[in-house]
Amino acid sequence: MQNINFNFPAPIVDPSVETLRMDVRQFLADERRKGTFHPGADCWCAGIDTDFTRRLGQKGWIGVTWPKEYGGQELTALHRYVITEELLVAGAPVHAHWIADRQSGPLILQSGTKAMKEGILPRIAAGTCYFALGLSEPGAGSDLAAVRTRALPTEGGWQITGTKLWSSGAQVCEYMTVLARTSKVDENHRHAGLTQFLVRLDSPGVSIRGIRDMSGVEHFNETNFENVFVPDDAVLGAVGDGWKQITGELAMERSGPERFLSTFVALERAFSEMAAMPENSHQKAVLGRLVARIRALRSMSLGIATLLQNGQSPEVEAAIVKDLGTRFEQEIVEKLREFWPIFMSQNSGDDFQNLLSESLLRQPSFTLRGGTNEILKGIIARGLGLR
Amino acid sequence: MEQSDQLILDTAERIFADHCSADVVNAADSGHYPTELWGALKEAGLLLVWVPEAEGGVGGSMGLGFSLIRRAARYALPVPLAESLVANWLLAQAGLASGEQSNGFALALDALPELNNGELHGVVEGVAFASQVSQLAVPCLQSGQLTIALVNVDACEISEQRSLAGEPRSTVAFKGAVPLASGTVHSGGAIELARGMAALTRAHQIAGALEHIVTLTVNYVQERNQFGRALSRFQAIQHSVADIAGESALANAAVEQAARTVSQPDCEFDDALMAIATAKSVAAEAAGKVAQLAHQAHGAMGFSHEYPLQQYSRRMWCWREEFGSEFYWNQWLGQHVASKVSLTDEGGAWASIARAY
Repeated sequence: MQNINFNFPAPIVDPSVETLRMDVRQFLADERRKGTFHPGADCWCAGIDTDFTRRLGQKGWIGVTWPKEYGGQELTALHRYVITEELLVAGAPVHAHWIADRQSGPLILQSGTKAMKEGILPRIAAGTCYFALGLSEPGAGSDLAAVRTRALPTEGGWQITGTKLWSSGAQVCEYMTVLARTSKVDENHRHAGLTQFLVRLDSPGVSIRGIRDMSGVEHFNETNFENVFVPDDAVLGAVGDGWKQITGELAMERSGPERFLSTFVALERAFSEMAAMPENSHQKAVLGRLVARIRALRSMSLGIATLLQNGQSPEVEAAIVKDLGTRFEQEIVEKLREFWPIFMSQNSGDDFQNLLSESLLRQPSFTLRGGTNEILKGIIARGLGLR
Repeated sequence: MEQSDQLILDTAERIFADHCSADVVNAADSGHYPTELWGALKEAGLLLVWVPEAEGGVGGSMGLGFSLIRRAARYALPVPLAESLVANWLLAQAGLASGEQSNGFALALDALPELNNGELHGVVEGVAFASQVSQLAVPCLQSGQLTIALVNVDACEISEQRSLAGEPRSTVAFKGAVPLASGTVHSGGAIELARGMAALTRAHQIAGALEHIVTLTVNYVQERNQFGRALSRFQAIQHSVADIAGESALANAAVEQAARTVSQPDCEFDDALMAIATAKSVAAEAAGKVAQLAHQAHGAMGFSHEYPLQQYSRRMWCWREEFGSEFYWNQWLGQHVASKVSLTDEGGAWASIARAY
């Protein structure tokens, strides 16, 4: 009988990690005191503030793992982890740089040209250059291999035509990484013939339309590409490598603290409220349970960061974190309802009520974005040998 | 992990594989105590992992002991290996470490027995395997101080009962029993830490059982055919098994983190209990969810006594209650974190969570 055991090793923590954590915490406390931001739920998706992002860049806290010649600090993945979790629990408006810091920067570092690395990475690290993801389409959601955006070879480059959907923050972004078909669909190898391109969003033929989501935020976008010309060196890596690049990023994308901390700001406030109330042992047990699960999810997530740092690609473990973590950040809101009913719109009550209603209105997206939980369970089942 | 640790775990694994088949576990449930298995474990010195080398023990780390406990639970080991390890750890806390092999422990969750004028008085319920060991390590109070008394089993009144899993759980009454030895534990928070160690032991046992249930279920759904195909081909089954694996992974991450925390020589008391509370809470909750899902996936087969799933689900249902269920530890956590939070100073809850790695 084959044994199936998952492994979540302990990260190696050097003292500079905790020093950095305290620096970030102090910075955030100072910013709060100055009133430069107001804590929000789901801040890594809903909170866009380019001034705030620039100040983070000035502190040197974007792209911290990258080489110094490209604006990085050559710190470890754990340093980056600590920065991101402190930003998330503070509810800081970090969406502008989130995708570039987490995904696009590392992709350029791995597959980009020298010109991209020199011209773009230092500006991402400075907090002035932002990225959107061009993956989903009207006809391609969970089934991403069904993308219909095409790139046709032309004199000196490619012409891209198609529509990308749900790209967060595209209205402030300079670039989008666009997944496009570069050869015809082979029904036996549906993931072949896909290529990622680096596209400037001010290119002729690009039009962006904002989409308002159910929480009232307009960060989603529909982006149209009509015969948009990109030069040959806009290809990320090799032609046909698109699928490999996207799936290679998944362990990183799916296992980070943003997959279980999107509503933590509300829980932190709930603890403050509870501390001021008379003894209620049931309430303590409900909130205590949430703490236990956060701690356990964080152990898993940190374990994956350690595996990634060691050069492994724990895709199944990452899918587990995202499946459990995103359901959990929804559950926080449902549990808090027992003590603090949520029925008024945002900006109708006190800060705590606003955080709760924001969290509730945003929570349907948690278990959809970046791979639905049904897709994730399929990946876990495959990892267990069931399919 | 050190090479010597690996050797010890390999030895244990061999003994489990040779002497602890599913039939042996079911026979123990029917009253046939597996003396061969118990003898082999003693002979290999595995009960002495947490006894210092100077006292004739292994001098193993906390991590090694918990690994051993978790692996034993993967076999639903029906003998008091975990109990002996904890008993020897308790004795070592009181400076009573010895190479004696056959100790159990009697730790009350509420009122501890009292040691007055050299006589022990009190009752402890749910003592595991009391009749199967020769001595009990009994945490008790002597002038308000936590003391560990080593008591001969013959000096106690034992009324033997059975747990949900058919394992011995007895009510042990001390009516003036004179301990063979006793020693006071001087560190702060010693009572809570003793209970915490027992809770963490049960959490590791649950984690081991969860791992085995994942394996059992994955194998079963691949072998069992209905409607002309393996159960594993049905998406509803795939998702259910993914949920089982997820809860098991979460519990395992939590118990490993806790083992690491309590292993640190300079570990602060609060950090140790936070980690222990997390581990027991998450493991106990997983025990309930996974038992339900795994039995559902196994159909009627898993409900039979012959099929081994029940050996694990029944044990988990028992272990999740012992030394504090998830409800007990959740409340402890809520109380503890609330005490770190004030309305004026934001971020207290997070600061207490982020202390751990």
